[in-house]
Amino acid sequence: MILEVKNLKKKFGDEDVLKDISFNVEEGDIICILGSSGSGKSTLLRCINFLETPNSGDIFFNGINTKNMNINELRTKIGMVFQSFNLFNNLNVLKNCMIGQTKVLRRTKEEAKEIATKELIRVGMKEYLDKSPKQLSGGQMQRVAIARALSNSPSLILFDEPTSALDPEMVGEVLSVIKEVKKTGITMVIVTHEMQFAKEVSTRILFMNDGVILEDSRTEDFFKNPKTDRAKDFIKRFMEQ
Amino acid sequence: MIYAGFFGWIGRIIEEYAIQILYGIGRTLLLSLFGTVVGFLIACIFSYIRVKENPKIIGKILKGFVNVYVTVIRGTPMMVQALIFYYSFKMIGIDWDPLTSGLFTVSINTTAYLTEVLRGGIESVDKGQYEAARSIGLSEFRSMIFIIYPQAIKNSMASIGNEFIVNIKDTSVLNVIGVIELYNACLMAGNRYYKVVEAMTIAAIIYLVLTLSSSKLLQMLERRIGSPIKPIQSSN
Repeated sequence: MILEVKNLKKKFGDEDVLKDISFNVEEGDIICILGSSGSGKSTLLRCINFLETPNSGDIFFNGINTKNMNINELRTKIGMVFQSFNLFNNLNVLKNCMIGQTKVLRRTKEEAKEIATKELIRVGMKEYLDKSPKQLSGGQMQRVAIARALSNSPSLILFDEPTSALDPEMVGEVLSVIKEVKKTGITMVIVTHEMQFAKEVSTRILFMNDGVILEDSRTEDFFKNPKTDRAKDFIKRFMEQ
Repeated sequence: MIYAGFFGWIGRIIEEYAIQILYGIGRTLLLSLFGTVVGFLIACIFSYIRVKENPKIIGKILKGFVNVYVTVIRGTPMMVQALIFYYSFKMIGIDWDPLTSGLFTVSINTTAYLTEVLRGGIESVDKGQYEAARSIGLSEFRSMIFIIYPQAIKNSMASIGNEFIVNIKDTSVLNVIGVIELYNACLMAGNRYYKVVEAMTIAAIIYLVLTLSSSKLLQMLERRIGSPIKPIQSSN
């Protein structure tokens, strides 16, 4: 078990955003978190690498309670891809993928460059190594962001609505890159609104509503036999699109 | 040689006081350059304190100090500050010369302005980049050093340069504690013959040459670093 979330609670002010969340992630799982806006999906994801501090609960990473781990070291093992890409504008594409490796993992420059280049080739950005992020399209930026997350050789990657900020014509290229990343066997947790993509790529679905996980089931089961009315409605709306 | 008329007097003052005026130019440049560099370095630390969210008591105290510092220094004239520093240090037994005191004053003053400039620069970098830096394992400090500050400083270049130019002119107030910078050197030369207008014309022209050439130089520097993403207007 790579990740174990136990009784996670998070409040923003008086509002309970996450109400006692528990779930497990096995190695090699591709988990898509679905649910309507405001259901707590992104907050849950951000709690996993402590960009948000949970109010209570435990998160175990490879069996170790993350409370006993160095947070920066933990984060090198959990990559994150953001909705708004968040590339470092003062660094070129290659250096965006190198800085974590050299400054945190203490890899040599040569080694870091080799790994970064390999990952940038994987996401199809080989021709853009010395370009500035500002010269790239949204889809290209997100592909670099995925390469940046992969460059630290994490064992888990979190995707926070990776295509929500993209123009429609760029969604496809990013989704196919994520499918490409899936082939490496890396464990992924993806918050998304792309139902078709979730259906194709994921092994398990977490369906969230109002701060709780309503369903945690294999992807096939979720789409064929949703257990709750809420999930049935959600899938029905997707089918009608 | 007979000196006569406005330009004649200008010529005579320059001829007789060339050395003093050159020293004055040197001191003015020293004061403004030193003040801007030292002010910038301290402002890097102060701006960090100002934007950092630190719930601990020590963090709150530091933040309170910086806030008061910026408010007081920006809200009072540098001339008044210079007099207070110069004589209060003497009162507690630190006997310092006017130039050292002037360097101190202009640094303290510039720090306050550049703290605000850099704070704006930091806030102009979207928070997502900071989160991304943390997400790949960079510590808070390293995220600031490697990702946020390079962009914040670049975005603030125009205002930092402007602060230097303002310093060239404003250090003239340091004459009140007896610093013989450009204005004071020219004034002393003019007073010798009761020719204040002529002497001040010399001062004005030299100030203009200094500020214009600095501004050109800074423009070239800015172009080399690359145009800022969002220029920030100076506050003074």
